Amino acid sequence: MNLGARRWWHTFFFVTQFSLRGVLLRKASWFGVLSFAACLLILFPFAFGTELLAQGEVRHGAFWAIQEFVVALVVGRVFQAEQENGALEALLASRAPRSALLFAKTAFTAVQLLSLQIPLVLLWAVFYNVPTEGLMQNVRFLLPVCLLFNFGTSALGALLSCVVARSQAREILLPILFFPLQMAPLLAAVTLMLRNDPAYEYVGGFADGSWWTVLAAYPVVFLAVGFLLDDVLLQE
Amino acid sequence: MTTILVCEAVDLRIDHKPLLEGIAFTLAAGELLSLVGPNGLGKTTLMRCLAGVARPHAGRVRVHGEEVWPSREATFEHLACYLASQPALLSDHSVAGNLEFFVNAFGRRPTWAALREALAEVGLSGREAQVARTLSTGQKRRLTLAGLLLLKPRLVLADEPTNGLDADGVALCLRVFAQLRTGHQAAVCVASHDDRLVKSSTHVLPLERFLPAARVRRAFQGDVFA
Repeated sequence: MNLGARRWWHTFFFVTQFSLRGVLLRKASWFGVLSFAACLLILFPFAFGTELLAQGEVRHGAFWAIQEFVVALVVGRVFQAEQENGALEALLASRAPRSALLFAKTAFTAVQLLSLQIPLVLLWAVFYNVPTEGLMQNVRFLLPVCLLFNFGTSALGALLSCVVARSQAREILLPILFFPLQMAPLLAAVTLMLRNDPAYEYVGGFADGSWWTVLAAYPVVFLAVGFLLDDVLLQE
Repeated sequence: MTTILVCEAVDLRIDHKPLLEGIAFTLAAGELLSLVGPNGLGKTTLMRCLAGVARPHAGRVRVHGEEVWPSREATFEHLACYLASQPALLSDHSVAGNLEFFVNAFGRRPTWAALREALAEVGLSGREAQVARTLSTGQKRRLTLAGLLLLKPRLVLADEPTNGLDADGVALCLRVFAQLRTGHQAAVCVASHDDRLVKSSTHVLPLERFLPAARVRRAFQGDVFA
């Protein structure tokens, strides 16, 4: 392996390792996000009522709407630990490859989202009366959908976080830029889950292949953009 | 002597207004250069450009012969460390974790023994597990000096390194810089108001000489640094 590749992989693993350590040290923030999402999971049925909850599109739509809240909280904190006291500047000044930093943050954020989705799926199955005969099929299908959704969302979120990191208006800019662009994988995830639900007959719209393409394209496109913009990412 | 840092015709701007123009100097191994000037002149901006964190408006910066600007060839193997005016830390990590982060960023892995030795040298012995957030400003600065002792960089760019340090801390800072210069042929470039640090320098560069011509003219006409 040449020096450049070794340098890149070293930065990737070291940033991932320290990000994981940071989350383990700040367990309160992970539990906080899970608690908030669980509260929403519990509150939504009161708003919808049991009749509406029996409908597949309401069940799946609520699940993914709550995922969006989780995404908003997690993606907004991609570089928070490093930016708080200038550790990000120290990392940039060390000349570590910036694309490796972006890839590491994307991979870590995707896994962090998955770690929150697993307990939420269990709570969702309980509170939303997901039929047991379709549950295992749903969960088996949900895993690849969640993985692609997480990686696409994290790639987009990490790239936009790099873009707005130096801006004074980053807290406003990030959601304004992020949510419109993130609609495509969200729609793809909801549609694929609805089509896969045996209790629900989904009619019309694009073929499954198109939605899988959208889900798969997002991580590829945004990581490629991050790699190509390596020189200007996080640049003052 | 090996030239470590070269700064050629660097122009700095803030919000499109010229700050400093035509900055040029070289720094060889074993030298300590102090950049001096009043507040607001552009010392920190220049240090950030030399470190590769901010882009200068024009000019060229090279470390060990490889460009930092404009083409960003320089890599972390060149071991050029930047100490910002506020110590850079991961607040929730321990003292030892922060040292590991600092050294890992340059592709190195410190041993536990080396880590403890560095902390002992800067007066933070026994605080390996202490959370960085709970350190005082002076202790945080000492932690960054421990990072330098661990890493033994070839170039140190330090912005106000004695901020927050007591008399012992300032003496420690001078000692660390001297140790790196004489023992490891490092070059040190500091931006500082501290007289003790400036007096211990091999070279002093007043940055006023790089003020844009228009500002100098206005200064003669009575508008100081307008």
